[in-house]
Amino acid sequence: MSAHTRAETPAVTPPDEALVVVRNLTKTFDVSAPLVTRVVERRPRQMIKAVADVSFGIARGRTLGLVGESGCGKSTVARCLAGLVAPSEGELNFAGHVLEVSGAWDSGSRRGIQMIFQDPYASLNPRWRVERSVGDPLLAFGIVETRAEMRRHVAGLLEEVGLAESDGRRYPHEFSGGQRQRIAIARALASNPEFLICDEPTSALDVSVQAQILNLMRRLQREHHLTFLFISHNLAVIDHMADDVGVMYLGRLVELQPKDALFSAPRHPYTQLLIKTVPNVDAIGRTSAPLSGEVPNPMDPPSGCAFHPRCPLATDRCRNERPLPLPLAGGGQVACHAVEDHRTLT
Amino acid sequence: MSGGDSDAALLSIRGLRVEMQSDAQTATVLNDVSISVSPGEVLGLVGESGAGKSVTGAAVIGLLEPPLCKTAGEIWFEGRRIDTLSPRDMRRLRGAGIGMVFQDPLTALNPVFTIGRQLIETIREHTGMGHGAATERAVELLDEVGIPAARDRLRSYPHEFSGGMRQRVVVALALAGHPRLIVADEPTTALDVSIQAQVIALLVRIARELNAGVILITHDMGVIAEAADRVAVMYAGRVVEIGPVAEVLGSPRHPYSQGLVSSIPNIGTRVDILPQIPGVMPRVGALPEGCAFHPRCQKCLPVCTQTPPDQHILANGVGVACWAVSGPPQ
Repeated sequence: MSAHTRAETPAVTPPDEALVVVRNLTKTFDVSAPLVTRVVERRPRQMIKAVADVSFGIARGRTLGLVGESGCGKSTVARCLAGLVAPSEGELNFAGHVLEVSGAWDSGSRRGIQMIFQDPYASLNPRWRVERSVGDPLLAFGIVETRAEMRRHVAGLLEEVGLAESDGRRYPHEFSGGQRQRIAIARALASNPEFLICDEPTSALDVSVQAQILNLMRRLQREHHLTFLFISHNLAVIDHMADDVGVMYLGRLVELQPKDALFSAPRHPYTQLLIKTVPNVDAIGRTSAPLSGEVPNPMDPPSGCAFHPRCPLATDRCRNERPLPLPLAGGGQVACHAVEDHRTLT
Repeated sequence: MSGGDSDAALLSIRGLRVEMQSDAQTATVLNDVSISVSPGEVLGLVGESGAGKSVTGAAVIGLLEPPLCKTAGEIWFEGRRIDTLSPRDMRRLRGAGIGMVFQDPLTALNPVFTIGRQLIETIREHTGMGHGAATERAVELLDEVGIPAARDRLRSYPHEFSGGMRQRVVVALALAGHPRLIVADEPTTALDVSIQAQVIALLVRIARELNAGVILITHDMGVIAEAADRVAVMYAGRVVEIGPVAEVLGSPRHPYSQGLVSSIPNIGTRVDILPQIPGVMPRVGALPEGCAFHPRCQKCLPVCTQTPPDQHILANGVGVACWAVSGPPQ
């Protein structure tokens, strides 16, 4: 790997070493009114740019955390990577395989990529026994041939996530939220994937259960050499789980850095304020809301840098010109004029 | 009871017991809950889902509905017993004396009326003002909660506001009748972290400026740490630890509070494995004998499996219900 390529890469992990590479991912959703309404009322088409020009790479065995407020596009990135929605532009790459234009992975990659969703009440079929939910991928990918083989395999998976073999005969409603998330993890592991996409996997859980699930996920990552894309709105959870952290704002990746650098020396004003905003158990009696205003409407994003209306450092340049990702020493990138111009928050 | 004289308290709940009654069985939802709130104080109620936080809040504002039913205890508000009030008197007290803020601002507002109409109607109902004066008051309230261009926004419908702005409107509604107590049940759970900080700061400012008491119900320990003066940790329908926030979160004494505080990941404190409490909270109707926490407790004594612990007041003013802390009964 030459120094030349390293400088060009927008990500913390150089693509050559990465298992997963995302280049200039853009996803636009059409939210126009129905055709007839548009014609009658002379309304134009309306598009939302949910993700704009996002690039990163994740090395094998590492965890990239994506953090941001609702509507910042982090779940859309996950869905594009999982092959659930087709990207509008950009290139996705998994272990050398390129995502097809239709937005689907070839069957080999599909087996290698699995996803865990936020709501364990919605992600399991309530009418299927656990055994079927977990075992279906085994049959679908031809990993096992017979039902007896499948049962044996499922029993092993359930034990691995801390459930009992007999739980396979039960239905999802018989389990608590944390146990259901364990089932969802067992299902994701069934095809022996290399890459797990976790979209807010503990947001619906109580804190003591969250700790159990996070510990389980880290143990499984170690034992199976899994690579994670870990999405959360909770910075503390990201800090606990991730190696590298990307911060998104209104569809764009505004900062991407190794975890230690991001939390100890955040560069983008949004990252700095977001970290200060997070309620912290150690910050007793400190009520402050350093981040004023709200995330703007993505249908009508602000000109220039999308963060400028909330940014204490905003200048005319920020209002008019969109900042481009600037590579940082030590890998990583930040998209901010203030950082380029050496203006800092006091 | 910790933290202040109950005579000076704005609200005092004594030995509250709430049961869920059905034909088949009766299950205890709240057991022997005693807490008090002083004017200008923010009391945090924290615990995991099913601990009884929301039921406690509902009992205070008189909104317990079958199958939930209060079977013991008293609730006093400004020297008056309110748990025995008729539904009509209670309705008058709600809004005028006690304001409410719920989790989901969209369901707390009527979608077919402008927020001006909802605010003005509420103000007139509680204060008897005329339309003109009530309109002025509505603008004042929206200003107070930080809604820009308040006068113009009176004509807006709830769907025209963002989530954070909507929750501000709900807070304005709760303030309409000059309440001395505000019950806020997970007021920021549906909001983004930057908006959450703004709404929490607003609630704390209101408590300070209007000298109102606030019961802040949340599952988020971070929110409690920043906003509350005192905190009550609830588990399986009981208050297991209550006291000043710095004491309870800084050096928790009950094994459950200890486990809860240490199981939360914190920015900057790196651990390889998060300390975790094994198991889950027992369901209502399936509480174990003795202390409800004993099956998950590392410090379980023989007595814990038989007798529920009494609240024991420590030297620093913290009340703890745990045999391992107070020593087994004589």
